[in-house]
Amino acid sequence: MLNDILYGFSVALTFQNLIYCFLGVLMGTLVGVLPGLGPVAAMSLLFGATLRIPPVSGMIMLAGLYYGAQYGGSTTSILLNIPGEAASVVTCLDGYQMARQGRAGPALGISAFGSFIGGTLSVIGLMLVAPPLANFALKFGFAENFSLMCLGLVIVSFLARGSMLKALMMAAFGLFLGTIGTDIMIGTPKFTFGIKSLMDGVGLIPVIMGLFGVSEVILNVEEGVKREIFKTKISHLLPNLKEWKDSIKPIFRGTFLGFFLGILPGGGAIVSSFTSYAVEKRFSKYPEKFGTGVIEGVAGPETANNSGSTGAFVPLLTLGIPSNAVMALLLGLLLTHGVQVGPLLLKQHSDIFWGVVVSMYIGNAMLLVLNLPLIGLWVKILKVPYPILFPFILLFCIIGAYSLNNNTEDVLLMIAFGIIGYFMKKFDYEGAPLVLALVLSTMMENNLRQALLVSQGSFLIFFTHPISATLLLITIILLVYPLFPWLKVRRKLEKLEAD
Amino acid sequence: MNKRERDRMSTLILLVVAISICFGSVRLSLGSFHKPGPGFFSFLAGAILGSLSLIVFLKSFKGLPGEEKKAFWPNPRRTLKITYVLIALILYIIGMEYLGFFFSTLLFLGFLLRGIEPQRWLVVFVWSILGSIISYGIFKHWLGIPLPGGVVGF
Repeated sequence: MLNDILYGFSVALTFQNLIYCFLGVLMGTLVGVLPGLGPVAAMSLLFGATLRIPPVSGMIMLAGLYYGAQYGGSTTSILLNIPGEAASVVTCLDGYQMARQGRAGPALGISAFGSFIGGTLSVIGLMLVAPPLANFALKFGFAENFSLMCLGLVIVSFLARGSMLKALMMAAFGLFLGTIGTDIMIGTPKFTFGIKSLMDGVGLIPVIMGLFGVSEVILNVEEGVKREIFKTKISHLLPNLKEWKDSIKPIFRGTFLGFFLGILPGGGAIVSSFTSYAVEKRFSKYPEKFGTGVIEGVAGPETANNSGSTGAFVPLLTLGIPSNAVMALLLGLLLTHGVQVGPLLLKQHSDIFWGVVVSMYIGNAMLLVLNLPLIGLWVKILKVPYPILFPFILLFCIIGAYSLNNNTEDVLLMIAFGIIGYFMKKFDYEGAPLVLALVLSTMMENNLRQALLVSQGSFLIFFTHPISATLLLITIILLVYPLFPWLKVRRKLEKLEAD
Repeated sequence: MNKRERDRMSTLILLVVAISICFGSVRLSLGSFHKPGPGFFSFLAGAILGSLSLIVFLKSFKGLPGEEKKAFWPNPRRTLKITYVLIALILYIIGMEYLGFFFSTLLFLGFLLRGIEPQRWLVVFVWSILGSIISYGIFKHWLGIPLPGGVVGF
């Protein structure tokens, strides 16, 4: 492993990759700071640009953007009581209260340090967990792959905010969208309606930009985004001894919790931060003080969201299964570059695996340097009113969609999904299950058809292979879980979000 | 419209979509279990979507009456602004082919800055011009994206 790490450093420390890492984390912090543009939409904007650079550089930049956004999101949560992105929602609860008490500096400081510690330790976890998991996954055949993807979609739906049934409906719709295009076995056009650009399938990037970018903007235009920065002097960014003493255990708990939750499909930064907050409140001697400005309520979740964002790379880099919309986009990047994803990525493209993993160490260090001294700059950027910001968000979305294939049909597709996304939000449907299913659809269909060909039409193949049977059993348990309301895990998460 | 009414409306729409998907899949050919056809997987997806839509539709009739109603479009004036934004987006794409990236971007930004949440004219001019120049520089020259030049050439 030491040789692999050194190899990773040799890839990540090239001048080109250092620049891309820096650009990624800088843009990620900016995206995290600016409400209205999340990491998924921002990554999709840059997708077209990453097609022109080597895949390892593209992965390093986009990965940096993702975990960088977790750092940046805490700034708006603490200063504005508006989360910069979804994983920073819980930081608003205590972080903003700390700002109101004149303690914005320690809140921002512990958030940055906790994110650094969580991000760095979870990279070590990734290095330890990923290679043996990739070796294990080499035993997977068509049935196992199909069952794993089913489990992934069900877990995403299980962990979705709101109705699990509605999340499953979006997953089913996403699976259908993924079938649009040319049949891979027979070559027949499927649901293309004679539209040439659909022969290659529905583009992932226009769908993501529409669902997460355009729809968010038009919803904000409708609701009217108003925000007021809490006027407080930001000083003493370095936490004092007592603040460190209060934060150290939440930071370590957040690291482990975030990492392992991040590995789960549907996991990642968001679930990790929510769960960490619930855990810290449970462990605290003074749970009634949560929500009034306790530093543990910032330290734990902010560590967990960074740790979770690293953990989310495990299924992607080892199994080729994206665990959330961000990973789905990175998978799309690798596939577009013709990179074989799955357990063989480690063997055949070790530069990508180890280069990305090591770049995360470097990226986390860059973020610590960026976030603390540049807090003043981020606060100035926050003052840009949304009515001035949103035209530029739309402009970047249009250029991003256009740049994919230099045609306007992708832009029209993006606008169509922007409208769909707007109505989805109005009717309380989530976009993440749809996007994940869209990405997995072709792989699922191929694995299902191949498995049935091998078994000569018998579905028992999914139950006679032990790994596949285990995965399907867990899937079935999660599907029937809502019928047993006495299992309180999901209820607690829902209550926390409602609060 | 309360939550249950919204669920009823959305699931009815999705049920129609699901039935269309299933019909379309049958036309593509489902094949057989030991040799699934091109419509097999999409039929499964449509069947799952349809079944779940039906369940949620039926569930929407359960529950206590008197649930809080929330207008679907609470502020019709603001909702109209969405229409303006969407029209602007479509005109921008069409306009880009004729006017070129730079001038169509200038008009697009100018319209959104003045037409949606009206800003002062100075703000509109400055941000439109700066935004067009900077985005032209970044996307056309730095990232090398072949943006349309239109009749003007840039």
